[in-house]
Amino acid sequence: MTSDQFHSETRVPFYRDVKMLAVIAQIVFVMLVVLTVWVLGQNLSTNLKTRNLSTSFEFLGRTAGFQVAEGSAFGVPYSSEDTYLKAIVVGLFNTLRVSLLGIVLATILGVVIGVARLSSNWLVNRIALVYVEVFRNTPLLVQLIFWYFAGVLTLPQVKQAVQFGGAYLSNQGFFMPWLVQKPDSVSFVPVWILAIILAVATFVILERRRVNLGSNEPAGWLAIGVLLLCLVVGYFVLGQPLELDLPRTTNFGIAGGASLSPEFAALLIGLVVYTASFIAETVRAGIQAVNKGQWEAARAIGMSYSQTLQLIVLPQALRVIIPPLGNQYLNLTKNSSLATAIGFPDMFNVLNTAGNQSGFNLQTMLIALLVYLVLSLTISSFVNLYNTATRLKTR
Amino acid sequence: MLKSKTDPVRWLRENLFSTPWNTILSIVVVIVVGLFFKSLLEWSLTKARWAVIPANFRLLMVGPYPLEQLWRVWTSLIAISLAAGFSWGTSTREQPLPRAPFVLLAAIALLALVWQFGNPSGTLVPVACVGLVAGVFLGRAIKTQNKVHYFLWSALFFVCVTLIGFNFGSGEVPSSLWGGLLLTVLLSVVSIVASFPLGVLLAIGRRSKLPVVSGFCIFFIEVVRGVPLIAVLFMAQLFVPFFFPADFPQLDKVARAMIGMTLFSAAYMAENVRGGLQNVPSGQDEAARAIGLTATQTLFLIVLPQGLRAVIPTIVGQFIALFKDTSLVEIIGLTDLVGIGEAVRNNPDWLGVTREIPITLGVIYFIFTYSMSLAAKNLEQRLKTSN
Repeated sequence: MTSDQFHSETRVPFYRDVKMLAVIAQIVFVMLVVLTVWVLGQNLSTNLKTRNLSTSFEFLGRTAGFQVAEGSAFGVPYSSEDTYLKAIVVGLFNTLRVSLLGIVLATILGVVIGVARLSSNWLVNRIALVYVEVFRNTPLLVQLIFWYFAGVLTLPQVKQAVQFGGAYLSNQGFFMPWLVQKPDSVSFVPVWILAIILAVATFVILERRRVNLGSNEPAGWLAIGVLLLCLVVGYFVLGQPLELDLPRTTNFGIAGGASLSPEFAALLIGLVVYTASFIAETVRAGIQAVNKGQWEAARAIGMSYSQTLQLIVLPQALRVIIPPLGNQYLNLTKNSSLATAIGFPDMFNVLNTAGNQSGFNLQTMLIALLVYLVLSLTISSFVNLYNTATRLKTR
Repeated sequence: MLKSKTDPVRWLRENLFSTPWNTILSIVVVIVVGLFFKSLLEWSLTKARWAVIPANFRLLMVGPYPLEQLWRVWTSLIAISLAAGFSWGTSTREQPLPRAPFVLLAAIALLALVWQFGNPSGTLVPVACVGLVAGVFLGRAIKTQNKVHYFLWSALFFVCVTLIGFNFGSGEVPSSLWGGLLLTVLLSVVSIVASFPLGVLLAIGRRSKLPVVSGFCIFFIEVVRGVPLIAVLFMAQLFVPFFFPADFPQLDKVARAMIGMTLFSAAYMAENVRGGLQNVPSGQDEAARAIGLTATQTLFLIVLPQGLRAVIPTIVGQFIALFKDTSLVEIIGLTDLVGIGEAVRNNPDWLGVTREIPITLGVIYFIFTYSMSLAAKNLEQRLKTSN
């Protein structure tokens, strides 16, 4: 018996060969999926035909003919003669506006409450606990309804608006003083860009010095100083191109300054308050995850409380905090679609209106799906980037 | 700890006035919180029209469910409270009996008896409370295996859903007549139960070594998780009918919402289950294969039982989130708890009543979610100690 014969005799039959089985299993799986999709697709196409619905996206170029209560795309306001596409982009800008603002404010509030949860002051940490439990355990929709119908809309009317420091609170919205460009003056935007670049450069250089040479300048404060200095110098060099626009009551309501519509304000408050309760728990867990010995060791080698927090505890805590924090940012962005319930024209609301009005519901929902996916992937890729940058570096 | 409790002055000094900074903080907080509660109390005692809640209580609880069929809901409620008491009693066999829950139950029973005197709820709420307490003592007295509880709850799920929704003898109650808290509970329970097998399948598929299978599962999971629930619900309302043949009986709104929520929940369930499966040490898998179990046997007899046990608390957490999320069906026009609340708020008889309803809804949701999160914490502790 030659070795060749031996080999051929014990070769496993194809139905017991693991590799073959894997291929066969995948082919069967693909066939099942294709079959299901085909059956559903057949049903879909016959249903679309019997209901006379088209599958093209040409409606995006048509005149929308409905109002979008607020917002603009690339600085250009929307009118009802514009196209569906324009309306949807305006909605997307509204979603981005409320999400970005919400993310910043929710982070600030969440960190404050999370730190308060760890306060040695009994009252403070109990109140933070009550805050977290109350807002985490009730639906966001109920909170939004409360903030809108029982909060913002029950504020006094314009004539009796609550005033403080030039700002107005009324059921027509929030109004506050804002810096605006004087008519026919030099644009201030380049100064902003320059100031931000210089501040970031200062921060990066000082951080590098700190890492390489162990010097100990307060990099963050110096960077903020550079930013402010640039802005002030730029303001005078360009001949004072900005002025403070104060809101004032007129016969038609309140004009001037920056304003938040009641819907925007309620949505923003709701999203911030709700998300902050989750962020607070994340922050608390992150700080608690840092070993107590780290605190004690840092204090023992003579670091002050704030140095310990900034240089020892927070960098380690952030590693634990960032991934769930990214999730919360994602949730906030997705939750902004609840704007539909209180009539704020976010992207989903606009798409829904557009779909109902044109009959192209299938297409508008597909657009919603795609845009939200892109938003989610963008946020999660940012979080992943941060994660790889701050990962524990082992030799 | 005990020492500081017995000496209030020392406790105050340690917890509120330990440093000058803490002292200032405490005083500021006391003033702010005091003002807040003062205005809240003033409003709720003088201005608030709480009468809106008792006047619409049945609506908030069961919506337009027909009055003569309400016995179905009551029977289910009493059966569930008995079973809940039984499971609770069994799980706390080794611990001393806590007093606080019983005081609370007695208070609820008494409240129902006094406020709703003569109404069916006046007698049946106390019956449910008694059932719960009886269940606790039964659970402590009889030694049962976990299997009994799993079986009991699965049976109860099918019996109650059939009882509330389907036809037997006295006619069917169509889902268009389900509403209020009843609809909220039904939606969330049915979707979490239905999403469990789907989620487990997706999790196994995602871990599969076959690239086509895992690719498909990853695609489904990530797409669904990247989209807001409200979009999924709208899509389910609009498109589910499109995917069925024209002569197929039309699915109603509630069924379509359940399909949407199940698919949504399945994606999250898959990720939770995957976390559990990953925590099963690979030695378990290898040992099982070494003693001659097939891959399928290993999965179902070794890996899944251990992995799923570890994710039970996470699943409770997911159920809490889903329970809150069911409120979104209000936007697609269902009369769940929030939907009924909005209907009452828009009722001209209760013009100007804006805060009372959202606050009450918040309290109802809070009672459910908070008690469930306590149960999840308790469960987690017991799982930790039993391992």
